[in-house]
Amino acid sequence: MSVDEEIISGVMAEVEAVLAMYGDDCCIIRAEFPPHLTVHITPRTAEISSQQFVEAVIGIEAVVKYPEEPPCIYILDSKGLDYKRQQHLIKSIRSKSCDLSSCFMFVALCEDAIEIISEMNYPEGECPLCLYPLYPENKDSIPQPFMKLMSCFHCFHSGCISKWCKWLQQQNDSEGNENTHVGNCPVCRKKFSSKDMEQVGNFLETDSTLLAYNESDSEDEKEFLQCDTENIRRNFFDLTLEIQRKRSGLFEPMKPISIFPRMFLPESRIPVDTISDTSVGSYGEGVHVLAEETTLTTFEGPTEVRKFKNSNSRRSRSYYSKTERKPPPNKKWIPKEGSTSGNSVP
Amino acid sequence: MTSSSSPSRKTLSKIATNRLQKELMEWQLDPPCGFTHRVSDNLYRWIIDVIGAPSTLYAGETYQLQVDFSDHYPMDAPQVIFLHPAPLHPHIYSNGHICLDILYDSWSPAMTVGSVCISILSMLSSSTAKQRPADNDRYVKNCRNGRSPKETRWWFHDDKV
Repeated sequence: MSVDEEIISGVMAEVEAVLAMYGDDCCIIRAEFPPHLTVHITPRTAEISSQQFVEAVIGIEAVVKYPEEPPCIYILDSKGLDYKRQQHLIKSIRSKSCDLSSCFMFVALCEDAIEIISEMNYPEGECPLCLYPLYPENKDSIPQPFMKLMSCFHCFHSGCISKWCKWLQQQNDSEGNENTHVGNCPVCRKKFSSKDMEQVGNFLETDSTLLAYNESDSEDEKEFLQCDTENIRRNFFDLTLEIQRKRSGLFEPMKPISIFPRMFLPESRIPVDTISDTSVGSYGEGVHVLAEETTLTTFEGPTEVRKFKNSNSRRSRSYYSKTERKPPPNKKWIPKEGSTSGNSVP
Repeated sequence: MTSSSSPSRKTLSKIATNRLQKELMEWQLDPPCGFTHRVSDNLYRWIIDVIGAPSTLYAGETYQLQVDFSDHYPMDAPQVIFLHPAPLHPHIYSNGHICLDILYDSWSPAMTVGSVCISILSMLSSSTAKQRPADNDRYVKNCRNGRSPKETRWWFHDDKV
């Protein structure tokens, strides 16, 4: 009997310890032996309410043979935890209770529960805006910052929800709305609370560099891929490739270009002239002419060669007239090489 | 000349592309009941076959929805219209424009193509009469220059159908 009494007084002291530790978070359902109580568990890492994404109320009901037999443990209520995570929580506490059998374990169990829930303090599922997981399932990948709307507890990537706020602002501005309505939750349409706006503002401030960088990055990329020099470069590449294919081998003129950079100068001016007034096709001609110029006698049917010569002699004449160096038009390409080399002397 | 020299091809933002790819992937894994996405290589225009729900006025009938996405998707609502012939419905104009608030003022970026499709099917299903809107002719005449339904100022007054 005295042993029993000892146990009972020990258990009651334990309940008092739980009450002292958790205060209002603890609720005594049955004070006499065997005791039954519930504890509201929140993550240790969630001192700031905006950083709390999960919580649970667990019930611990001691059995008559406690602490020889572990108490009955269940989840009374939870937020932000799906079935899988609830099961994980309850299984972990139960196995802990088995490990501790014959010890007074109330406080230890509560602390264990807090530990587990602290590890699970992240929102679940996907961001409703980008549809990618809020918290990476793969632990190696870097988690993106996310935030919870205080009014409705819906979670988003901070970047995603900030973009939505920015978009709403832009729409309001463009429509000239005097309305100071800042927006609402994309999921449930609840109005943003001032705290939410503060959070978004803070995020935009701290991460504006990041955001701006990302945006400008993609913009730059687009600009670069669409710019004239890049287009010209691509056209040139395509033409070179075509010629290579036609001749089923390396494009020989590449060699003189690299050896004599001066030959390149008039060549690069022709496409700029032609592109401005006509089309890519005429640039094509320019490249063909280059091919011809250096490998004059070797290939191509004679008719085609003549055609290119004609079309280009006009253009080359106009170029030379600009630089006030007029070679006789009949002489065409060979003197031109002479003139460029002559040019290089002074 | 190869594809690299055709600058006209539509380029869209990374955000829109990622989101649409994700939506398409999820659609393929678990398509909403009664809808078929026509396979195409254009991520920014979806053609979706809608089959009228059983035991409604449109049971067994098939219509086509055309969903166009802008560069600002999902912030900006997609443009959703019925291709010809549009179903006879008090909120669907003969040019395919749909009077449905979530496509315009009440759009939210948390909505997806799937959820929009389901809303439209539910709108069809709750109809009690196969008829055009009262102002059909006037509206369609005003839209003759190919105006998008997103430019219309809609009045949403009927929450029954």
